Amino acid sequence: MSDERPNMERRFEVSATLDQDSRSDSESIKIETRDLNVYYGNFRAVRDISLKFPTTRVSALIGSSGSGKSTLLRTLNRMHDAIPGTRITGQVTLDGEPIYGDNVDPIMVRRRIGMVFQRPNPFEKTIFDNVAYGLRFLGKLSKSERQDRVESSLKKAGLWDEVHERLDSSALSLSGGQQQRLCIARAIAVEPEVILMDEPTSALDPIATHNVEELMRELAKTFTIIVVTHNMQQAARVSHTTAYMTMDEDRAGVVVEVGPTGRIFTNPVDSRTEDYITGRIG
Amino acid sequence: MQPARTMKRYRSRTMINRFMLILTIGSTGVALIPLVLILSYVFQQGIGAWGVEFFTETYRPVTLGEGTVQVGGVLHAIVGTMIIVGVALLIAVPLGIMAGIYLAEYPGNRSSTIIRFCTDVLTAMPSIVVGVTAYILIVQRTQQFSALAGSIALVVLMVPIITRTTEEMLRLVPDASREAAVALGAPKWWTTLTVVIPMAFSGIVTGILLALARAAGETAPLLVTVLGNNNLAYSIFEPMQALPLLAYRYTEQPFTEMNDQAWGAALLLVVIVLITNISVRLATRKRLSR
Repeated sequence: MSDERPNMERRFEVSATLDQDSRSDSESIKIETRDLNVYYGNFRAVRDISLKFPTTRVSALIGSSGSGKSTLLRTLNRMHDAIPGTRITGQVTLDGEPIYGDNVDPIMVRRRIGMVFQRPNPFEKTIFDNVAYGLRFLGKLSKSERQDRVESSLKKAGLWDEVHERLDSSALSLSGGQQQRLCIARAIAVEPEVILMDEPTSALDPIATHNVEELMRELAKTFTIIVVTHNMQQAARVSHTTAYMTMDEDRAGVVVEVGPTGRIFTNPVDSRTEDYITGRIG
Repeated sequence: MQPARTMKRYRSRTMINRFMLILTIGSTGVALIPLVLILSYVFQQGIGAWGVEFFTETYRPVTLGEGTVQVGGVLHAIVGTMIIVGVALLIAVPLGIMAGIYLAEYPGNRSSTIIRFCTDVLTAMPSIVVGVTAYILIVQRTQQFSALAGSIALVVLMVPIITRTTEEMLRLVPDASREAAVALGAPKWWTTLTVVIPMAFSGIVTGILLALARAAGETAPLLVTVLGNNNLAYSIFEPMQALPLLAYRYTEQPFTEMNDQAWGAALLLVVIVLITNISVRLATRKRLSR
């Protein structure tokens, strides 16, 4: 543990400089939650979440299992809608506009807020068709436009060089890490504004994890990224802001502390955050 | 624990393991005996009736007395079975698949519970009951035995099979696949159509084949609806002949030539079901390799 420390310190410096950078346009908030509560039946899964996610930044949600990170993430693009018995109070806004409301189509919300899941979940289709799947929702695209979009998405996801000769083979023939980058390519092909990532590297080996993390940093130049992770080093490496969540006495997830990643990891205000990041709990 | 005792336990476990393995293999063998017996007996009895005439001719009265006996063929029953089952398939497949989609993709509400219950009841319904119902509701009202009435009776038998297999197969598709499409902004119906159904496709086809095999061999509901016909008939609004019906009727005849034809028809039925099964499986085998 002790010999890892200097390494981490250096990463924090990097994060700190990025934070200064973010302070200059701190006005720009992409997604905001206000007093958000999510219930599964009578059980309250997350309680009174009020968070701001800045534009074109990586925001990390960290915390132990059961702290409601994934539940919170899935409310941000209305993925709970399909699950019977789920109830949401409070509000989530995208560019200041509420995404929960009678006149809001969840499908339109999801086209602006993409998602990458914990386990790679490519369709049983060809690599090309996987990336092109969402394109038909963008209106009529010509064949060459579609091909260009697939190519540029695969390039952005850092997968093009590995797959450009076999776009017609099954996506299931790819390795786990490649599949996850394919899922990212699929998500960015429809050019969302926000990408939600639910533990995107937990099913991947260290090299694949490294590739995906590099990619997240790269994508943050154009997209707003919100990532749930169990891996604190990952949050430290890739995120600009970090929110630490935990489970309260009623087993509901709450936000303990939120701030620039560098500060959260070097100088946490709340003792519970400190316990978690120093490895005493969780 | 002493090594000796551990060894003893290990040996007894291995013994039990071997015993159970033999038991399961033996049971499988016993279960296969009737299948092999039936198939070989039908083949043995039926192959003699097969000849060019058998497939190209229709019914011809058995000539009594001296000389060569002309028995005709079962072409009218082959055509009849294909039309009756084909029409039933055209109606039952879309109905069954759509009902199955509803049960699997929109579960948990009251109407899907009721539909599932009714489907289970229908699955266990004796086919003669379905036939008599079709007789009362269709044949009596139209004052006409017809192939269509038979097809509709078969539809009632096929739909629950297709519905339940479709439902089961769609349930096997992991939610992660649905979520992947939904997160891309796909509407639910599009997700079902382009992601869920393709993944369950071969299973759904299996359900259709099961239903087809059941329908092709049904005799009871056809007795009271399509009636039977000794001539080649193409109109679904008229009485028609079908292979199981012909086999049943011909076994009642006093002429051995007709009894033989009944066996031939039975064999043909088995072969048709088998060929359909194999060819559909070949055609729908997954093209995407893992």
